[in-house]
Amino acid sequence: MSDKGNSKPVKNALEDEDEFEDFPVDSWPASETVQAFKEGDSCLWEEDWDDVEVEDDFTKELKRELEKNKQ
Amino acid sequence: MQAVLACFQLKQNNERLIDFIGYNTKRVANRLTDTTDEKLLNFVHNTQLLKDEWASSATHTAELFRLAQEQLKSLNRIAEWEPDWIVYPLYMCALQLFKIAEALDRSAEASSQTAKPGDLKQEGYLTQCGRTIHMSLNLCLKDRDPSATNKRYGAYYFALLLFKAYHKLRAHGLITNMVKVLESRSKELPSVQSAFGNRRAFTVTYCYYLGRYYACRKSDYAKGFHWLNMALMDCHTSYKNQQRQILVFLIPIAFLTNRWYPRNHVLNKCDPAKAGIDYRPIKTALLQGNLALLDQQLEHQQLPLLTRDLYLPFSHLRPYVILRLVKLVWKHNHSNWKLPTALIATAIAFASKNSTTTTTAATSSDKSPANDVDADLLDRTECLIANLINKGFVKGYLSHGNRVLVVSKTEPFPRLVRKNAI
Repeated sequence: MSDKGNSKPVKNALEDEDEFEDFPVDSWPASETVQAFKEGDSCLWEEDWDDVEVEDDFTKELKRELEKNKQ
Repeated sequence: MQAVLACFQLKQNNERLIDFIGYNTKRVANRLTDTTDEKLLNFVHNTQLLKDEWASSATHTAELFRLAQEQLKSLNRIAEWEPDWIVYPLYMCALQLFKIAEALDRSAEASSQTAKPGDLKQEGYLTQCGRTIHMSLNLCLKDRDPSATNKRYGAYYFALLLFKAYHKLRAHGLITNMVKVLESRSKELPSVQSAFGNRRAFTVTYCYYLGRYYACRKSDYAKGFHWLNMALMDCHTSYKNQQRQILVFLIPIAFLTNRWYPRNHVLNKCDPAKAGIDYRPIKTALLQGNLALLDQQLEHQQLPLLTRDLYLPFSHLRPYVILRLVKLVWKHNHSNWKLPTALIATAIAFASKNSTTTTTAATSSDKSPANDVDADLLDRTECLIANLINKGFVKGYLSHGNRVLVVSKTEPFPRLVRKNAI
């Protein structure tokens, strides 16, 4: 019984997902689209994941840990 | 009324007809002597009844829904024999039914809280409305007219409404069936963009739902990216909410497909308070190889991820975070082609612990840390590496006997980022 009581809020929370908002107008010209204002995808995305190296507390600590374990 | 009837005679849509379809617009004087077409008379009659119902009730009633459904059915019967011009009026008629159904289901849901246990759950209005709109979709799809004025493009208009309805009902099986039908007829259909033309709001919404379907229900990230990206590119620059809604899905899918991660200005468009998901720590985890951070986010953001069907795509990010770690260890080990599994295990163990437990672990294991890495941990690490090799993320092999990962001297880590063609 208690399970039944608990399942309702979870179910509702799962269903309360935001729906795609309706646009106030149906049409607009190509010149006003996101595409027209960007020069391709490179304006949105970083494409250096293969090579990028970060130097922060996490990586420094990790390197220290590795150094300790190498000895 | 003459202007309305003229549309059917001239086979041309006009504002008068769209206006006439609306239940909340004025009743038009009945002068039907100009036509003897029974189907048309039926449509006009149903529409007038619909208007009368609204005029007397001024609220969404079950009768209003029934009449709107009759109106769409009667226009469906006419549309079967009409060319392309009928698509938009038919869409407006279907949209009207959809909105009435939506409102009725909303108020039924509010009153269902007072329902007694044992009461039978009635079939929702949206479910019934979906069935009628599906007829409109089918009659467009089945149009065999070889001329350019066929109405097959209209299938997208009704698919768009059905996406919305099925999504609201969380009827994933129906979405799958519909997409399968559209896929099987793709050769006979125009492109989405040409079907909707300047009605870019339709293109964006359609592509958004289709992208979500491929990415989140089918784990087909390439197709998901294609459609979600098209949705974003066609969106109007001023509609930030819709852009944010698209990006919520596009950000993880862009990484899973192309290993592209968002620039800061893109992340700023995704305000976590509105988007429901915070991508900043996820980006950090992917760049650092921080497993603990990723796992912590998967746990903290579990509910918003589940409600958006994004939990599975997110869990698919994990191998990339592990790869990041392996690469880091390899570099730290002077890019040596023999990489002790124990060293990778140490890195994984470190990255899997949050900062407080890391400190404790470090202090308790300061006698002989390398030996502390037990066989079980090494086995699990080998498993993770084997997965990376299998995915083609690492070129090499595992020597279980020597507890070493031997990587290719020429290309230990194949490049995974897809370069932009532009």
